[in-house]
Amino acid sequence: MSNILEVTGLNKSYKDFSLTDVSFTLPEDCITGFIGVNGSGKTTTIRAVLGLTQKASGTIKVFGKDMETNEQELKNRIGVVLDEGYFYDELTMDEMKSIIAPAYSGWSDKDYKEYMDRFSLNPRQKIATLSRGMRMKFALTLALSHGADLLIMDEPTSGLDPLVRSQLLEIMTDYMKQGGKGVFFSTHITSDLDKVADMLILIHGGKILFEKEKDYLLDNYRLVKGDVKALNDKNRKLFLNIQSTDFGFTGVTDKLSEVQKSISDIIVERPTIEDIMLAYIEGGRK
Amino acid sequence: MVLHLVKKDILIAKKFVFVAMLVVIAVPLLIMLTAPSIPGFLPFLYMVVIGELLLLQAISQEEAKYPKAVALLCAAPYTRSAFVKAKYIFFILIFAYCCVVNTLLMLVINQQPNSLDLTAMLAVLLVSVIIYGIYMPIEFKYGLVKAKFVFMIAIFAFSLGPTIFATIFANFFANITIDFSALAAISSGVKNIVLALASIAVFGISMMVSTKIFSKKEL
Amino acid sequence: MKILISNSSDKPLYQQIKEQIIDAILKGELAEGDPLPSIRSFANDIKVSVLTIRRVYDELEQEGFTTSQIGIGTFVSTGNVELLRDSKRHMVEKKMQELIDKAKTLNITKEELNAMMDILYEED
Repeated sequence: MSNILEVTGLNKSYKDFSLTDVSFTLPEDCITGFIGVNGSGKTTTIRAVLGLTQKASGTIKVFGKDMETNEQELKNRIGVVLDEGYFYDELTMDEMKSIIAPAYSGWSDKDYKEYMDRFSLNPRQKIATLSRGMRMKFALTLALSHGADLLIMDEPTSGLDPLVRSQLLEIMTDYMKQGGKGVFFSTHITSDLDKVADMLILIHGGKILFEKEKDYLLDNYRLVKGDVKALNDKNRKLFLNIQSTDFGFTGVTDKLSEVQKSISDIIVERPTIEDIMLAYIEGGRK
Repeated sequence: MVLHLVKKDILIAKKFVFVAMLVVIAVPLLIMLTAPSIPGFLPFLYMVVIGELLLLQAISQEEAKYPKAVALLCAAPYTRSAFVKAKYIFFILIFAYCCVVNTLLMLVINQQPNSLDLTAMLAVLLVSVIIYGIYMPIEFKYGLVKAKFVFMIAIFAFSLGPTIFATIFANFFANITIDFSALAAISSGVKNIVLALASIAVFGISMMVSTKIFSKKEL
Repeated sequence: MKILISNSSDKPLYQQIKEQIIDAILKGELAEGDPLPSIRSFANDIKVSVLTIRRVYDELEQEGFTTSQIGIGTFVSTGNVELLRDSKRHMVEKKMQELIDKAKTLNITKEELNAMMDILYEED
């Protein structure tokens, strides 16, 4: 199974923020969720991958080829959905399309029309009059109408209502059915990932905290609740993070059997992606 | 690729393009009607300078309104150098338009004693290439607002009016007739080649500098 | 073939799926030579990651239950009767071991266990 995207040792510094040694790989046929809180470095990483910003160091390979030396050829195969304000609002959707389409050798007007119909978008409508959900759908239309093998999306679901979000997720899974594709999308809404992600990459403060299969995370981590008094220096180490109140503690751990040996009276539940993400972040801060 | 980006520029500044095209026709008419003694190349110079600055300014303004749009286009297979080339090609297109309009006006009005010859045209080209060649890299590097400052000064100077310019030129000519007669001795063929080469050189250097600046720019 | 996975079970997802497929093979619901669904559509239908299904298929192949042909698909192995029988026994043995371990921790004797077994077996 080849890798669709390989980022190695990406470093980039701004005045108040830097990406440090960011490395990760996206396997083929996977939807990879890039998660992290606001300001963690998701957008910066994506912009670096797309060549929108200069990196201090690091290599980026797409479909096994170096991005710097094969930029145009690779960008031709990448569909991009960026966050806000990426269109000339004064234009109609058709006019905007007429600017973007010629850049891609694999552009298909047939696909374009089909998606516009599917999303109920009127091509002659001015972009400034579109709602946020419609703008995202239009961006997705453009990204999907040129035979792209990799979709890179930066916070595509933020600000959208649950119905539109689920439509987007459905489109993603449909897209993957073609085979040989990859989707990389960043979000801070982890509930979307619970449903569709195969791989999860967590970034925080410009550093990658983990890169794991979603099912692995959900299979191996457990949410444990118990009496605060049962905690001691030794068994605290078994947890990624512990939150305690007067009424008990809640902790996330992947060493359930050891915890069970140490503390007898506990409730065990499966965590959500958000639980795991927060535990990693909070735990890392200590 | 580049042509599509030129098309993009025209598309986003549609309204301005139309207005500018009219202005470009109006300017020489106005000058020729109000001050017919002006040497033939001056209205042309005005046409070109005003036309270029007006249009390119309008486009840059639209781009500045939607800065992320450039990002999306650069995330597509449009190269940074294609972007820059498109702007410079647009410049050429405007110049060509001005030449055509001027020639047509000359034919229609047919009153200008000093009709435009190739040398004068190339001289105007050189002047406008120099102005534009300095302006463009500044805009790419420092953005529209700061570059506008430079632009404002240029517009101000030019709109001081034909009269001031004419006076300056007249004095210039009066004082330096000697040198100019020497210049006049040089065959127009050589002059043309020198002017053309100089224009190409400045144009090319400016484009290279702009490309270098834009390649490093954060989008 | 029925595959039902539980999100509240302690058992890892891939194991639940694998065991249910093995179950289907041993019961004969999936006959020798039958194709397994494609990884992608299977993952989609039971709402699990493709990576998980891939692991299931890999392990099934390693353990001899299936064979895969690149470009064509994954099929239930043929002629592995010995293996399957052994597997059947192995599976039951595993369960029995679990049972015995549990009985021991709860202080239930072998005799009690056998008695319980007699009763329950007849109930089916």
